[in-house]
Amino acid sequence: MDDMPIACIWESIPDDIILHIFSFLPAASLLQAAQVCRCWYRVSRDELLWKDVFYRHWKIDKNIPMAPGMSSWLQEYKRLHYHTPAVESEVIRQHTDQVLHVSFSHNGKMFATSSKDGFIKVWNTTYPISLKYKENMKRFTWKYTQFSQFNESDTLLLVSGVHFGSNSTSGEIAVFSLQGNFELQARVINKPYDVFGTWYNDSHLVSGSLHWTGQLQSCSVLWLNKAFQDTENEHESVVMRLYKLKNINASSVRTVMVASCREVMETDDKDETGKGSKRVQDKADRDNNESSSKIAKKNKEKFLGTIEYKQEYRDAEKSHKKFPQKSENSKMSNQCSSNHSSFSEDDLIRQLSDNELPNLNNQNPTRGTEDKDISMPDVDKLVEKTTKCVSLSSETIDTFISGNSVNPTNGSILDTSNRNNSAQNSSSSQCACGSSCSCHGGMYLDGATFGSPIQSHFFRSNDHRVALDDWNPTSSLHMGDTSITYPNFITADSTSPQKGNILDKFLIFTQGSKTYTPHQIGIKRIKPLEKILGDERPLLPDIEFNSPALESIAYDKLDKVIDMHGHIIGLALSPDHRYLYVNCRPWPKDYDIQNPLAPPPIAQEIDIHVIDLLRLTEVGTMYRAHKAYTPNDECFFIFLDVSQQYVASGAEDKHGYIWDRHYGVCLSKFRHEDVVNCVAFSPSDSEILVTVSDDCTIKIWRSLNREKHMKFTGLFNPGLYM
Amino acid sequence: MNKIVPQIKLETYEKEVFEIDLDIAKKFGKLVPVLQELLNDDKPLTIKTINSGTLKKIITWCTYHKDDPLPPEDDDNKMKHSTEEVSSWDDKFLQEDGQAALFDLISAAHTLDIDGLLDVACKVVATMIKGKAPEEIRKVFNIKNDFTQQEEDQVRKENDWCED
Repeated sequence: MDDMPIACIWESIPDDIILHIFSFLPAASLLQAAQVCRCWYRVSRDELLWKDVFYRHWKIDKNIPMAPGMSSWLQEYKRLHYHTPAVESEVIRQHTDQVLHVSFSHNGKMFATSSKDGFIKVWNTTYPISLKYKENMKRFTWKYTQFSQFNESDTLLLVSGVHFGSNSTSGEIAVFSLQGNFELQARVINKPYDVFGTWYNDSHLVSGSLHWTGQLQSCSVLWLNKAFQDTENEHESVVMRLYKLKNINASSVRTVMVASCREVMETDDKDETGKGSKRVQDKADRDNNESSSKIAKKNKEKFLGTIEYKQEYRDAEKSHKKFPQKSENSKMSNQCSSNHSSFSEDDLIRQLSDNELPNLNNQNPTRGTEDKDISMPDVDKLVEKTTKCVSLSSETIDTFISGNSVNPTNGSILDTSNRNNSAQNSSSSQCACGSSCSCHGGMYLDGATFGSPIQSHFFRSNDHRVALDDWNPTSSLHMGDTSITYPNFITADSTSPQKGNILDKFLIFTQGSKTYTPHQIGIKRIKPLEKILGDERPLLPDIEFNSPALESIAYDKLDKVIDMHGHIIGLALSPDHRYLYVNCRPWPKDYDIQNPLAPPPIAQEIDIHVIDLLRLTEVGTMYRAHKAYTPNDECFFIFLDVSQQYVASGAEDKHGYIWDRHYGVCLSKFRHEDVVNCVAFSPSDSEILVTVSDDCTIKIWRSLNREKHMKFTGLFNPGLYM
Repeated sequence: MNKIVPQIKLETYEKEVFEIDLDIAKKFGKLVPVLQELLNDDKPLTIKTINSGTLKKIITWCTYHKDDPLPPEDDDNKMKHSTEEVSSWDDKFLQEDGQAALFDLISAAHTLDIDGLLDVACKVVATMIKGKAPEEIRKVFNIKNDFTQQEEDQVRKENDWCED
């Protein structure tokens, strides 16, 4: 046997010995070995082999099964290694100060960055990245931009910023058109500025206002604003009060988000909502009981920095498998989840009736409101003539009043716009007023464009918005020939497969009850806007904030409050709106807060909590995932983002991070020279991620797969790989 | 009076008979169920697939490692175990007689079901594979490339997604 040629020895060795040898190889060597000969290739495809390599390499808890919908360990390894953003692909240095936020358009073709340099910049995602639009918001008396969000149809961009002022807590939301030349559509006061603001649907956005009612007490009001005024519905109000919420112990409502409710996965039958809800509730209870015993706590230390999910999350994953979710819209029904049976349609109707205070239509809107406003003692009217822009001090009540004659030339303007209208949405309505169409509450006219602030449709005070329902089409004369297409949300929704079955939404925000730092998630269920706007009734109470009428409106109650016992620094929804991911810096365990103005010390580590919005319970936590150092008395945010399969976040340790949502492990770190403030996945391609940092750069991270292909072809065409 | 160490007898490919201490023989997983029988039997057990040189090495290895703790059973420790480095003694011991002897040893460890030895010997081979391109591996192990050109291209493409 000694003199036998070596090659013969290999031929005599059974596959299971080769397999045993291979079991000591890392993935890279395995792939090389696979190319040696047919036998080795065959052995190298062994799934159990890859299962071991997979768990070993990614340090995944062996109790976690393969991700739902997947069938190969080899492919799973490849997905985590080769198809996730990992390579610093492009660095953009076109902001001159800290970059605070990045958001992607839904079609993945654009992303927008906000920066302390005061600019909002919109970029084309095609390689190499190029600038599409930019606007210096400092000319609107903004200190800087802090947040942006594309509407569903990617036709409008919501930009949120902070007003000038040394201790300013006030901010503003501006809406820009993404068709044409980035025209300003609307401006809305937003207070405190870290409400940020969010799209409610394709054409309406949510803003906030704050009103102090006592030493440590205040009242937050969330407003629904129309992002533009369309000519067809010129008498429709553009602002309505959504909710009035009481803040105690110096806290306030911040970081507002809107999520679509999901159907109840467990109910296949069409039983009435109540019954279905009950069943889900029962199931949730059962899962809760089971979960505590089932979760393997023993590995907590060992798998630090990984997400630990409760059993019900794992169960839910299984049901996802049964109900693959492509587009949530097509799947959703009105059988929304239901841990809050206390809320009924009657409640909503009652709320709406409360809103119907003496209305505008019955009086001369201008005169009525003007008089009232001027009579308010703390009105601070400020006109910045230098920029020919009426700008309002945001710390106090902001007011702007102007003439408002209805111009009969309206019709002809509309005709013009219709000719320019793209055919993409025949039911869309037109906004013919271009950049001057700052059509709603709290808006200031863009005097820089229009010369003088003579066309205003409304006035509002910071704490009290009133829409004056007249539309002044003379402004259209100034607008040039751009026409803008807006999908009409009502039409769009009612033509969806679930006709007449439009889903509720969740209004989600952070708040507090013990101290001023945000430590709770508040959730309020909203009926579809169609039901709210169902008839012709006016949307705004024509009253002053302090009037007995408004005071008499009870504070709205929340459907759910989840306490995080820590300082919440970021929120993100999963693409299907089923899960809410929360960046939170924990307080010491069992810390008792004596003084609301002295919040507890916070940890440097950021935990990521996962909340199931179907059952409104927390289902998982990733402990000590990443780092933050900012002391707790400063306001700061570390934004995170969630894709179908991954979650990513910024951190203060000069890195961004990406984790697999199912396995809960960290896949890559994204290096910067300073704090990473925000990350965003391309919604159309989760192999692309953008990070922004205090080091003033924007970095585009691509997967090894994308990088390799770009090297080969010299250009990048995402369409090729979709 | 000297304590008599219980021994079993094994006959190799070359018909050489080895007397092996029971403590060592217990490491041969394959023999564990029949050990008592072998102790009572004066006739050696013949294992034709193992040559004398290999059995000698196995006995030496087992003697050196006879006080090692048993290999771990649970998954997590196994995972750790599998990434542990090969000790320098093992490395030298397993490679000193060349590749052919190493593969004989692996074969024998596999036949006799000696987990510890099989693991460490396979790790040594794995180390020889690590970091090498397919052509280098073929050279080291004298393996014939039996892919057609088309297959080779295909396989290269399929496995071209992970670098060290």
